[in-house]
Amino acid sequence: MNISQANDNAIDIINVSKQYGNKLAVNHMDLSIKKGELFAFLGPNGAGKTTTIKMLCGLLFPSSGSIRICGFDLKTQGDEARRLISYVPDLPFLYEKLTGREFLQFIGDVYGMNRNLITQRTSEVAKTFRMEEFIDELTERYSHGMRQRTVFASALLHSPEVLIVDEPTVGLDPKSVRQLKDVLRSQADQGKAIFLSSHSLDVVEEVADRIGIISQGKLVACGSLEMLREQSRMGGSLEEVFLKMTEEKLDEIS
Amino acid sequence: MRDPGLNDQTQQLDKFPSSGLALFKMRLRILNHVRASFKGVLVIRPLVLLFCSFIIWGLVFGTSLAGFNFLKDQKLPLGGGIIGLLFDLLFFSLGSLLILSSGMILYGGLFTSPETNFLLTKPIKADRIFAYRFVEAIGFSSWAFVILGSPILIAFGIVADSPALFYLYLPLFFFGYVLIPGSIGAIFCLLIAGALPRGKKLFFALLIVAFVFFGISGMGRFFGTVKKEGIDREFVDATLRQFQFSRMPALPSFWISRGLRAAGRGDIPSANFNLALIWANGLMIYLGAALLSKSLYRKAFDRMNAFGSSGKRISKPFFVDLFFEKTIGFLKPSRRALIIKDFRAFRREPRQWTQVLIFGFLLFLYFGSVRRSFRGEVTWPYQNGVSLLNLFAVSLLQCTYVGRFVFPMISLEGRNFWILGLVPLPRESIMWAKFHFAFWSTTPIAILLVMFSDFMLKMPLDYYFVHIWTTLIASLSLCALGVGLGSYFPNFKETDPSKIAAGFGGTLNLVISLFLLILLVGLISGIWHANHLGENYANPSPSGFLVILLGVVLGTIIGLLAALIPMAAGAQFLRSREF
Repeated sequence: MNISQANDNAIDIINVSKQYGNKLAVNHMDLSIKKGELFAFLGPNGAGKTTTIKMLCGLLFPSSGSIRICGFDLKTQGDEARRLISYVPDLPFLYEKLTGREFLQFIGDVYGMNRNLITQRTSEVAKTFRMEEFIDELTERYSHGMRQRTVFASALLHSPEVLIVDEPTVGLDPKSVRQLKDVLRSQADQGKAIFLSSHSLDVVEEVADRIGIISQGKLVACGSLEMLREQSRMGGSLEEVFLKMTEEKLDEIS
Repeated sequence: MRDPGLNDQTQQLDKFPSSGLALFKMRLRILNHVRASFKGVLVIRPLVLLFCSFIIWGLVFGTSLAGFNFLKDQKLPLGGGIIGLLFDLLFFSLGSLLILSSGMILYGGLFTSPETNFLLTKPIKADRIFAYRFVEAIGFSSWAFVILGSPILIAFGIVADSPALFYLYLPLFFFGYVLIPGSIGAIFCLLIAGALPRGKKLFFALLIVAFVFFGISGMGRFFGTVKKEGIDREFVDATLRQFQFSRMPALPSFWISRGLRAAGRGDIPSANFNLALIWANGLMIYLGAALLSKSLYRKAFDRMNAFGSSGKRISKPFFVDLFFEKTIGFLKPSRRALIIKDFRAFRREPRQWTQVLIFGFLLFLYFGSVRRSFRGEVTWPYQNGVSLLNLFAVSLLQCTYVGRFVFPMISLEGRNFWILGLVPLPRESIMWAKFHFAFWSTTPIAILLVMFSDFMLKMPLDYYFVHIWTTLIASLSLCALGVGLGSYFPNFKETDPSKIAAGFGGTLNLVISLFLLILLVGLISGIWHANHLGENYANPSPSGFLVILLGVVLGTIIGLLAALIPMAAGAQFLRSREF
């Protein structure tokens, strides 16, 4: 029996630290994200967000502690864990000499989906992300927004258990941002765990179930917006809460 | 078995997806689109590439054919000692270079490519990604092996009246052989990245020391033994004896050499034995590399990211930067800033300059030792000939440097080129800055090397002037050609300089540079040397002097045109380009 059967956590970050030489990029982080939860991860530049995301994707390994995706340890059962993850980076990668459809086909092949399922899911995600008009063009001709939509479509193609998203709204028009927020929410409602890293606090405020704030490698706050407001003893917007908490952390350190 | 913790669709996914096949199919699709893009307007590109490759191939083939015919005329057995040793040496050298180049290309592919970052987040096994990158690295690193090796061996086959089967064996031996150095390079690459993520510079420094040590000891032995006044059979024998190490039966270069010679004389059992030996060992070493990648690659990637950079704070400018800045102090501050930017980026990337440093130093050692190969005083005809060859060698090194490092410079600005495009300077200023960087970082060294060679050969003063002028004009035109063509054929999507250099524009630049080099050295210095062919140094006749003057003027004009035309074309292209 694996851990996914034992509890509802999609992501378990257990006492994880990551050291770059003398620098502690992530400092003894403990965090669990449940299936169906949209978790937003905030932090100032250089706080350790990207390192955490890279560890969640299996690109980097924790110096100590462990990360489990639906019960699979990313270090020892990496291939199994990565089958359940989709990662949308801030700078999306696409093969310039493939069409959007071929790219989706490739992703489907990589995840071991059968041909019929790939065809079915491709038309579904293409419709969701309004890709029909350009899906058969080479991606080298895509605008930033089209690229971003293609990468999102590829990320959802195999219906991952865990979706990790880094700065998804950069370069998107308001309509696409609205659509993206709806997609993220609906994915969470379908039982997927969403790990969203963003500097767009309005987006986070609107869609997140729970918010984590990282500063200097430490998770300084974690909870719903209400809980964060209580913790910071402030009643204002997420922006005010965020600034207060990260400044307090810096003050503690200095 | 169904896992109740996972959604319905995840249950349908293949537990062991054939990601290797997926990568293969993706690459085929890309190739199809690339092929389709050649249709119509872009058909000129592959044609020029094919034509250039054919020219190089033809030159090597013609030279080899003449060489083998010469040996045949000398009644030297074509399947025998000297040819065997030459083949051993050829494959040993090409194999050694393949270890280095495939290892370096693979390093870029495995650890610094954005595509690899993408693939590593997918459920693709580490050894599959390694295999995918390995094929690519082998392809990039071994094309020169095919271009250089096939014409030599086909020429050998024709002169040795080899059976048709010999030509069928050639690709089998080639593809099997490149697996061995390629896999060894891959093992080195994985071990260095995994074990020495932060000690790479130290490793390269040790590598240089080892190269220099072996270079010095090898040359010492060579020049110490070969002390003759003329080139005769004894000289050749003595020279070849120095390279007996390449005949060790345990070396793969020995197997391919022996196998191909056996195929050439129709000895099929021996050819098959050596072919099997090569493939068995090649596949075995590749398997070792793949197994190593399975256990080490992801860890090495993690270590490279965690420890790859020293994290050292650079608060004070490095004295070399200050020195370089002072050297180009006569330029405008804005142009100087662009050049210093390039210089800093260049010196902080040891992979870029260690190869040139090694070859430059070996050239320096050779120039320093060349006199020792003559028992007594060097006779004038040799002084005259060797000094011209040395001049050519220096220009050739510069040509390689420009092709490998200068040509990719504009492309390496990458997708951020628009940042430079917004600098309040005309776009051609960026080109001129790159030109200045290339010119001032190479020309003084090239001139010093040429002067050193002339000094060691005790050349008369007028030779210094002619050689320095040749180097200056060659340097000017090669650097401008590299920058100009680099701007005309930019590849802003590629981040690996070796791949940019190996692409269409890079190959075209290399071919044109080589022709230009032969032309310039021939016109400016070759005619001068040809007019001093006598037993002793003597001033040329008035008519000879006129021809020399004509050669120098013509060479200079061609050199200047070869500098200005590509720069103008490149500038025109950059000005009109949208980002």
